[in-house]
Amino acid sequence: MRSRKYQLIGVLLLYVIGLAASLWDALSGHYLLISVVLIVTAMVPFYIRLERKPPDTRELVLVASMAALAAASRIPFASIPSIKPTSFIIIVSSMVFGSEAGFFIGATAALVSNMFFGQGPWTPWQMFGWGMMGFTAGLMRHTYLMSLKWGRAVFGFVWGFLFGWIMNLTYLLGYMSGISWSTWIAVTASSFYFDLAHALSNVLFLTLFGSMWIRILQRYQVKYGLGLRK
Amino acid sequence: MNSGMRFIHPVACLCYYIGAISLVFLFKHPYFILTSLVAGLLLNYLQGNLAARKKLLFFFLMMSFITFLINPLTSHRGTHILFYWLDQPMTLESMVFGVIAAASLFGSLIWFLSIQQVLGPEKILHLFGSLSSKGALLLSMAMRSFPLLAQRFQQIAIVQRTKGVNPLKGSIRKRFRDGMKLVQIMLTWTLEEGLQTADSMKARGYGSGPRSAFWPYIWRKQDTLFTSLFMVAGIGCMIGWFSGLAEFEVYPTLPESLSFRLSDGLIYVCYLSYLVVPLLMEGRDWIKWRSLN
Amino acid sequence: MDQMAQLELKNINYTYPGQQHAALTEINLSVKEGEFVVVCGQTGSGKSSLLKLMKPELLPAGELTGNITFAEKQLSSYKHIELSQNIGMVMQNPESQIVMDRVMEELIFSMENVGISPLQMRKRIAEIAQFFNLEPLLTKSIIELSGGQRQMINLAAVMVLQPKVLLLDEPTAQLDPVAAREFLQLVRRVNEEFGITVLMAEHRLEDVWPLADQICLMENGEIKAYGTPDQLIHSDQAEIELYLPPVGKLFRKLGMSEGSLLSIKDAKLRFASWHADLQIKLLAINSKQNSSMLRQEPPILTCKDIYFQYGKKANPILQHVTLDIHAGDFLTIFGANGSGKSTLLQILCGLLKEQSGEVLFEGKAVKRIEETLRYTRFGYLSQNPVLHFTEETVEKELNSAAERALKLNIKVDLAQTIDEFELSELLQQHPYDLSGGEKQKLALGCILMMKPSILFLDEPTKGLDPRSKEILSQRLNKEQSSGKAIVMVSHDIEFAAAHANRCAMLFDGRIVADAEPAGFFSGNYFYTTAINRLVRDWYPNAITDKDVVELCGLENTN
Ligand SMILES: Nc1ncnc2c1ncn2[C@@H]1O[C@H](COP(=O)(O)OP(=O)(O)OP(=O)(O)O)[C@@H](O)[C@H]1O
Ligand SMILES: Nc1ncnc2c1ncn2[C@@H]1O[C@H](COP(=O)(O)OP(=O)(O)OP(=O)(O)O)[C@@H](O)[C@H]1O
Ligand SMILES: [Mg+2]
Ligand SMILES: [Mg+2]
Repeated sequence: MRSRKYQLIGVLLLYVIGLAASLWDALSGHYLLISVVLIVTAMVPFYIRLERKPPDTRELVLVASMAALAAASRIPFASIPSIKPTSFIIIVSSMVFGSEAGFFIGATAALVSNMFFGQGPWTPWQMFGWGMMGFTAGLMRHTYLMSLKWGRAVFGFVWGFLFGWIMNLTYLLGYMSGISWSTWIAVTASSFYFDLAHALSNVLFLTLFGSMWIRILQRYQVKYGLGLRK
Repeated sequence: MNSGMRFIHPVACLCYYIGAISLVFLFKHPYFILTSLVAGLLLNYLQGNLAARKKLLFFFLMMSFITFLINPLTSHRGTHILFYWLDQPMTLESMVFGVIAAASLFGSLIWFLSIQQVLGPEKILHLFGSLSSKGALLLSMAMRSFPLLAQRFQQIAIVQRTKGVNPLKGSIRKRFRDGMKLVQIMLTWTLEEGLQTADSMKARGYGSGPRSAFWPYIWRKQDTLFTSLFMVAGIGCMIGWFSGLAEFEVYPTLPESLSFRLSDGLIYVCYLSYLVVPLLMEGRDWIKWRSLN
Repeated sequence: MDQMAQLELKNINYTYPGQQHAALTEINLSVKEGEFVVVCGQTGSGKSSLLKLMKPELLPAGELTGNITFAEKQLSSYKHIELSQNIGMVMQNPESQIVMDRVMEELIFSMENVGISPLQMRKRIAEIAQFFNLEPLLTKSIIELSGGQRQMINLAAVMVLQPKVLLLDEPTAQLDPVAAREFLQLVRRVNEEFGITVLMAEHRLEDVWPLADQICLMENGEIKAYGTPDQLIHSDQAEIELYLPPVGKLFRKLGMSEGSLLSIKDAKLRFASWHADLQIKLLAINSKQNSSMLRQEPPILTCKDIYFQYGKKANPILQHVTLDIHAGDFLTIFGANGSGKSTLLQILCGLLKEQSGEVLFEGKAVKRIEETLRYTRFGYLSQNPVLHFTEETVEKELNSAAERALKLNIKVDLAQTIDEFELSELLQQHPYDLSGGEKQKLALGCILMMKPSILFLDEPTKGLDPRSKEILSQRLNKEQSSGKAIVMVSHDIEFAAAHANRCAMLFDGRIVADAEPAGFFSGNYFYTTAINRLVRDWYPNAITDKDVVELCGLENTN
């Protein structure tokens, strides 16, 4: 029902715009609300494009399966602290299936894992973080860097930190007295151990299993008939 | 009549909660934050979330505590210096700000907890689905797979134990490799099944033309009542906010007292009534069930 | 014939993309409205491909020649949306066909796809829910349903589109006998009450033949035989023998030339008159087999008073299970879906820990046996054989199993295993691309390399065609006669009746019957072979066609 859809979009947009406009005056103190709006609007184009594209059932199923797998893959690693293959799975599957699929695998994985482990104000940030991780991995998949084992490792390492910093932003923007370098450093330092573990586990997974997974996924790319685009 | 928040139209619920969480951020006055915290906790209590989500609540508390700690450590603004720590002045103002930040963080998380109970995955999917039907389908397929995958990991783990693959035993290195083996079997299994799922979707006409949408929720009288109540209260709060009432500035110097003017009191009434509406509904539901049992 | 054909296939040839050999050659088939056609044939004979011809959106863009018409119009001239409403399809795996996580949403999903209005949706759901008795399930989550219920939801999700033709690709392969029969009854009602044409590929012959109007036998991509069940039973084509349901086989063996076997009822009348003519004396089959149950030597595996449940708050799955297994036993455990058969098997081989009771292997607690050693002595084959595979080709899979065996000082002859299991042509394939039977063989081959002394097999005959079953049974008999014990969980009554020497039934968390096959099956109503149901009035202990032939003293006459 198209009309209901536009009604709803209209109502929600008005609501959000109304809120944002009423805050314009005092924006200085309320980074969180603006940033949530910004983050959400940053992801909207992806969803609009998805709606517009002719439906490809297999691609949809594939993305959903990879997202669920990425979210659930932490289960067998319960006995090894701070090692989870979620980011690894997002990166390699985006390298095979492309940037757009990559964004949705990442964003959906975040949504699903929050559905089961607790939704919060961090959800859009996590969607954005993992979505962008997949998106950039997909964009860079044909570069020289990503064809090298250590290149992928560097990519994973960098994203380990980037992801942590994106998540820290929720925190910084919402609950701190504005952004200053010292608070940024304090928050970054407090999450350093986690980010480092994330980065290193990405490196570990990508160097040990990257090539094999890319091969397996390419087999399914053929099997699903998702044409090998340039 | 079913009266709890779960029986309110999801669009009304969504708007309400967006408003409630925004209010937590807009009003930093201690009375307001305290009210929001108490109302949020009470609402969660009535909805049974306090008992059911203890672990998550503990996590929220930890986060809030860290927030409280970080602020005085990093911000040295303010005039009342309490003591020096590592040559840095610890000010009363930054402490108070830390408390307020922690309380508003905790408050917003508490309200999020309540959203999750009221707008379960199904309703979220329907809401999301009316914006992006493919995005919602993607999400609902992934959500359906998740518990299935969790179950299957157990099955795979059992079978692979007969081949000596066991991520719970051995050196970290072996556990790591074994864990990855399980994930890899899962990968192949999931993708193989995905082909059949896609076939079943196509066979039932997915992608064959424009889809219709089944919308199971009806807008009822009580939704109108609910919406108009919180809208009136919300608009009152907005007006107050615009006129700069009930402001609470910590920096540079903490205000002498927490005293209210009459106009502040009026805004407070609006604020309170906004937060109390769902409490009344849940309370009615709660009392009804109590008296039935 | 006065009635026009609804579906007509003329001179169809089809090759999958990138394949050398055609999957289907010279197919000619014409199906009338309201007919019930059963397609049988061995794995890879092209049954699924044949059905998919009528669902072009599912068929990969291979090389297709010939002519398909539906309702007198070219099939290719229909739009996707028209086809999905007119031709419905249910496939083998109940789990993977479901898209949503609740029953109601699953039904709605189908209807949303083709743009049915919400008002219509409500009406159709109400109608289907009553016809299928789905009301109690509508609000449930799919994960709570049994396999049989899931398959019923799949059928309902197709039926809400009100199709004219229903294609079913081995829909009961994963169900227990009772659930399968229920599902087939539902299909029969859909066929009879709505006049919907049904084409069904199926291995479960004994249940399906009585329902069929026409049988279509495929071999190597061709239609080998086509006709009514009666025609086929009495035709003199040799390849039909393998696909006949047991009752048909018996009639053929007994040389009864005419007569219908639409149901056990009809067949019984036939048999009665034939039997009266023959006037043979009853022989007792009992005396011959009883001795095998009396054993002197101690059991190699015993379990005593097992109690088990998953998680603290879950229902108990097993309570007071007690069982002895001797060398040379071939025990089959039956039970409904979800009765805990797989669970019991996993407890017996130490993969799950019982909450109370104990399992002893050669007098030693299984839990105490070191894990690596344990799984050289125990061979466990899972219900889903692909869970065993970790490598990318069949060859690597076999090699890694051989390496593991060598590390444990077990002598293996890889070449012999490959030979015995006929895997030589498949070595370079991906394990997931094998057919059901081939997967089963590969997994079993790897397990047998460890030279285990007990085999635990979870539904090894599921989805196998008669020929593959024959090969499997020979292999198992060989293991059995070399003194190994086999414990098998199965829904396949006919297979167990022919090959096992002990049968047990798991019900309500207990073993409620444990006897040699003849004693076990006779007297059961559901859990018995079709032959037994047919001849029980005359020969209560006869359970296979061989028994009846023997009892009738006809061994040498046919
Ligand atoms: N997607 C495919 N690509 C290439 N070849 C295929 C494909 N699907 C099936 N085949 C081949 O086509 C032949 C017929 O397969 P089909 O699946 O129709 O057999 P079947 O009778 O349904 O077998 P089963 O009983 O195992 O389901 C087989 O040789 C198979 O290997
Ligand atoms: N990992 C698990 N966690 C919780 N419950 C389980 C688990 N595995 C199985 N069950 C439940 O235990 C019961 C017995 O399951 P089991 O798989 O042993 O049945 P089964 O007799 O083998 O059925 P089938 O014929 O379908 O293979 C079922 O009700 C099932 O839902
Ligand atoms: Mg098939
Ligand atoms: Mg089982």
